[in-house]
Amino acid sequence: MRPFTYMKPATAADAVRAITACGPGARFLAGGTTLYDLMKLNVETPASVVDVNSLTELNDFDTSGSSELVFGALARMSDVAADPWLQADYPALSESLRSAASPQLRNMASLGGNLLQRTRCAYFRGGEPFACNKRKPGSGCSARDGLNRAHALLGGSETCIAVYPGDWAVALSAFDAKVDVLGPNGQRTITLEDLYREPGATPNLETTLEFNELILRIRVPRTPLGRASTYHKIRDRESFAFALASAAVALQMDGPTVRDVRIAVGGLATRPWRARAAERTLVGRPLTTQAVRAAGESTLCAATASGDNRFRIELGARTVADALMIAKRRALGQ
Amino acid sequence: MIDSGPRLRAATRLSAAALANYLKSTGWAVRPSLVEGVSIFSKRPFGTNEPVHVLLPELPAIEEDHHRIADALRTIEAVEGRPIWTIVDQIAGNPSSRIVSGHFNSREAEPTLTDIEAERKFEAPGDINARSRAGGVSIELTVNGTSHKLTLDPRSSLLDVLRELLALTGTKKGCDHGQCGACTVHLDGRGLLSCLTPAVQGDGRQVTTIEGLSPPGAGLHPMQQAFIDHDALQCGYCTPGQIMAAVSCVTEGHATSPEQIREYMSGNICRCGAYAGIVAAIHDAAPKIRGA
Repeated sequence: MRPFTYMKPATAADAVRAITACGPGARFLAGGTTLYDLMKLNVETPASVVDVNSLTELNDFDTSGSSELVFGALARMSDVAADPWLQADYPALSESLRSAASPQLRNMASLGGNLLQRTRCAYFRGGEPFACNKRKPGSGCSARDGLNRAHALLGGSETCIAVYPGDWAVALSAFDAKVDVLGPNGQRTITLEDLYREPGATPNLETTLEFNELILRIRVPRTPLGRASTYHKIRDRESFAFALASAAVALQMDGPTVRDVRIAVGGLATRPWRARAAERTLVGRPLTTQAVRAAGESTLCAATASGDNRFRIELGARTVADALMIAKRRALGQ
Repeated sequence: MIDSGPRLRAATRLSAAALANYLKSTGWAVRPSLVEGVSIFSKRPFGTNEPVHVLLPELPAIEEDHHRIADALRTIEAVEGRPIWTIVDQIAGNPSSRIVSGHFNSREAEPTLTDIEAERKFEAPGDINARSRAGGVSIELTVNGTSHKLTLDPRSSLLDVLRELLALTGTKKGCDHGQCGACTVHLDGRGLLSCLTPAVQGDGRQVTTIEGLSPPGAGLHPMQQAFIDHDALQCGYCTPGQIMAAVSCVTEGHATSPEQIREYMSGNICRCGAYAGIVAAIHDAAPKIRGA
């Protein structure tokens, strides 16, 4: 691990000032489960680290608001997953947190930091001698012709097919969440979907945040779709594994037909992936076995396989279909 | 090998400080260092004009520094043209284990008794404040009820500080990347991974390790006893982490059924496959812990 200067400011404004003074080589440190891990691998080599864990104003979350749910960026995944109101009103959000990582990691990891979790692509993490455009722009992509069973089918480019590994952001994208960000010029709000970039020609740029912008909180609009929602995660083992395919689905039924539906998928794409076209195939129609199957296939219709990951096109479509049926049972109170 | 009395024969750990003392006493020049936290020594190998430089970390306590010290030792031995360090105890397969214990082996300048005593004082777990150096981050960390004022390289993980600085080796290093659970400890009562926790984040907080799970003189914790009763281990390497996670599983309210225990123990890998015994042990100990 490279030596670094360590700072621990007491307020969000001080943290932004401190990191701005350090320049682009600096990083914010929250739970540390991604950053410190990658620093041990010399994949992240910040010259300065600004520890934000003293910003206690960002620890709280409120799931009781009438217009929106508010999550402080430093609330821990385990605390939020255990919230009984969230479990009742937005099971997809709670399940996305509960099915991520291990209990110890959920006790450490923050909600804001989790949004910025970096890919688990072995060529990205492994370092030299493997080429990786995300780690070292212009060096190439070892995954395209390498071991790519877990790599992205959606949103990839010639330069990068690394999967966005998180669960929480996938569930949030189904609910049109927004993110409040503090930078040197004050606060701004962006939609969660606008937080992420597709790799394109610059896979080293993963988000639309500047190095000195700090996530303050995440806001989720209150919606009648919350209660009949699910986060359905398929993986190699039953627990403590990243998604091979996952689907966040939220549903509102009007008798036998779909009034409104949200579909987002994880583990399949280079970023949290909202499937609006698939949503549109379902609205106003009965939620039959054929309809959910078609919605799953619509979600994956633009999928591009790289070799070992081909089986996950079918797996992804079926995961979406199964998630829709789970949400339907919840909508019908079964 | 030196043989000048029982005090010198006693094995010591080869730390950066011990090696620095040795170099100073054997004609290596101390170079001004522009790198914070690093000492530079140099010497010209016999028959050459180009000096060789050796870099030594000033703040100990992180695993990779042990590899650097081992590298430095190899460089010094190449310059001196002979082994200067005799290994007394080595852990097979661990590249940095040659620094675990041994002693200096010198023809022209044996380490003085003062060096050895200074080294012992420096190494003694009770005198960790002697490790404080400029360039580090000062924190106060409470471990198993005992408060320690420490000055740390901010790179140090809580795991390395517990094991290397405070000599609490019950907490184990498995993967060092948050994937195995062997390093699980409690920080302010919550189970987490000490390998992914920078030790400086422990400032002002309470750590409990396997050594402090049961108060002194109180015998085994009910979870420890349950692991014995249910044969919940084979090699035992993952066991301290398993037990710390198991106690969290109970106290955080997730030990109500075998299915839930399996889910909430999924962060702890057991290569021997003692999982059936582990689930049984937790199921057995849970009511005793809740009732305590």
